[in-house]
Amino acid sequence: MEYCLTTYNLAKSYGRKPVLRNVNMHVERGAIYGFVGKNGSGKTTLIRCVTGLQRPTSGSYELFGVSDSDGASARVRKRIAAIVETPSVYPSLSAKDNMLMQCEILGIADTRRVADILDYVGLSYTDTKKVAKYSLGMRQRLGIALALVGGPDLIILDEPVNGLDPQGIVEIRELILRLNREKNMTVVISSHILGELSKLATHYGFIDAGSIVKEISAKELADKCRKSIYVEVDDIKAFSCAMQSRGIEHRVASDRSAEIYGEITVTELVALLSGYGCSLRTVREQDEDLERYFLDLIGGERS
Amino acid sequence: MINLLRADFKRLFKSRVTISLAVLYALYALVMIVFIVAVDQSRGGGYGKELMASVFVQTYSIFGTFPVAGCGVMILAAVLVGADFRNGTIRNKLISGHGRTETYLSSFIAVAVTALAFTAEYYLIMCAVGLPIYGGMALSAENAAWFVFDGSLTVVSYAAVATFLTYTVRRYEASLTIGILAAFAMCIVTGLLISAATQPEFIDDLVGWTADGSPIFETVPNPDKLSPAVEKFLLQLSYVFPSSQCHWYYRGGAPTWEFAAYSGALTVLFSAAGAGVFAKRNLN
Repeated sequence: MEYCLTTYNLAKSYGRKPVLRNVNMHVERGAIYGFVGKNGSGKTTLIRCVTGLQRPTSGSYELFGVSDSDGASARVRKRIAAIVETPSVYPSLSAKDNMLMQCEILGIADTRRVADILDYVGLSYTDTKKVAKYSLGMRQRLGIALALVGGPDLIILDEPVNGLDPQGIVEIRELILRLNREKNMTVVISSHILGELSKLATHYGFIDAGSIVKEISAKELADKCRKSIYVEVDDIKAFSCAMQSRGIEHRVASDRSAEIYGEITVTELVALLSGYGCSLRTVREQDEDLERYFLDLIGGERS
Repeated sequence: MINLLRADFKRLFKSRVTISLAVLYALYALVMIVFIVAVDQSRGGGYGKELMASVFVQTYSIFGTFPVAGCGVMILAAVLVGADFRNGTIRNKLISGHGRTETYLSSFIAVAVTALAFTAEYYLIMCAVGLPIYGGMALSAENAAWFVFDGSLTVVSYAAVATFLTYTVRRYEASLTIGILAAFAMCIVTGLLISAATQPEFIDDLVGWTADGSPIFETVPNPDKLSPAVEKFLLQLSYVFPSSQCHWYYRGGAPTWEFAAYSGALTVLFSAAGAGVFAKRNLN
């Protein structure tokens, strides 16, 4: 298995405050890696460390098998691109001039690709319009265009859909999927908007309080996210007693609702609850989604 | 680093601020020529060559007080480096594999070379317009070359200070403000140091008035005259600042290898310190 990015016990502290703790991360070649975590969990800090903007306090990482301490790492960096928090653009220049500037920085003499990339991200119509007048969605697309100039094999996007309207979110999502499918680009996306990630990611890395809690493929996650029965009852204590009497796995959600994970039919459920003097108000089937899996994971209830 | 230099030069030359500075330098040179003509005519003519020589060395500061070179360099550094930090575009350079030292030195070189281009512009306009009018200036070619050489090193040392300042402060507006204030502060401090170190031994003290109201002066020892050792120390201290050389030129002083050495040392010191600080800095 080829990894684009691997971290080995990566840690980062600001003064005495640890932000990353022994992070071990593995991003497979060709994957769309969804990097999931709450605000302040360390996602952006990790991205800053692996992109060279900050030095880890301890630990190491490899990009395409080359260690960060290796002298050849500068060459390998040309194979990655990143947008960290916000796109880095020159507001007084047009999209094309921003792209040409990036070509200069990367030492790319052939600037014919600039028009192609702008067309690819949907900014070919902007002409001489200055970036200062762009919408947030346009800036994000320009940021991705700038990242594509060097033809990277790995692109790291830090919260790319933050602040975008629904149409903007869809456009960015489709662009990312095209990059992965058409150009075989590995994409790492950090986000706390789980619904969006679930439509994109082939792999997930869950981070909480500076540590990777779990890495899992989308397929494995789908297997783990089981169906459950959502119920609303009038006596939650009686409900819980009934479930425990039969050894049925369940989770009390509130003083009137719960979720049942064990195997039981609706008929059996009604009969069981009647025996404990508990009435059933609502019953429906539901699938556990990424959000629930994540909340359970960081809450320590799931493994 | 070639790629970074190309990108930095391109940004500087595309900037309206840089173009405005170039226009201002040209106007400055033309204004100085008008000044020469006006003063020469007010003295009845025949002083053009001396005036050309004195104005020739005003590239770096106007009459030793307004730090033209210092302010110009601080503005260039803010345009290049301060804006890079403000826009976050410094990240593009680092993420794409350019090292911290390489990035820092590229900024310094771009600022220094652009500032030198402005001073060259001043010299060219002065010579192109002024020399045909007066047929020359009271400064030998050798001395003129010395001024250009030493003055250029002064500009480079200014660039080293400005680059250090902007990489340390990082914010565009703050680095611009602090930089320009620093340029003026250096001018004031060196003016005071040089003034204190070059007091005359004797002064004419007003001791009374004649019956018809004319003042009576008596030559007395200067109470502000310092000891030779203190004067030497103050002078050496003043040489540390790039603005000191501008003061000396304005006072009719000549460039020396000492000035060149101090400029070189200042350049190396601030560049090393700035690159070192930037190498360790966490960037967002």
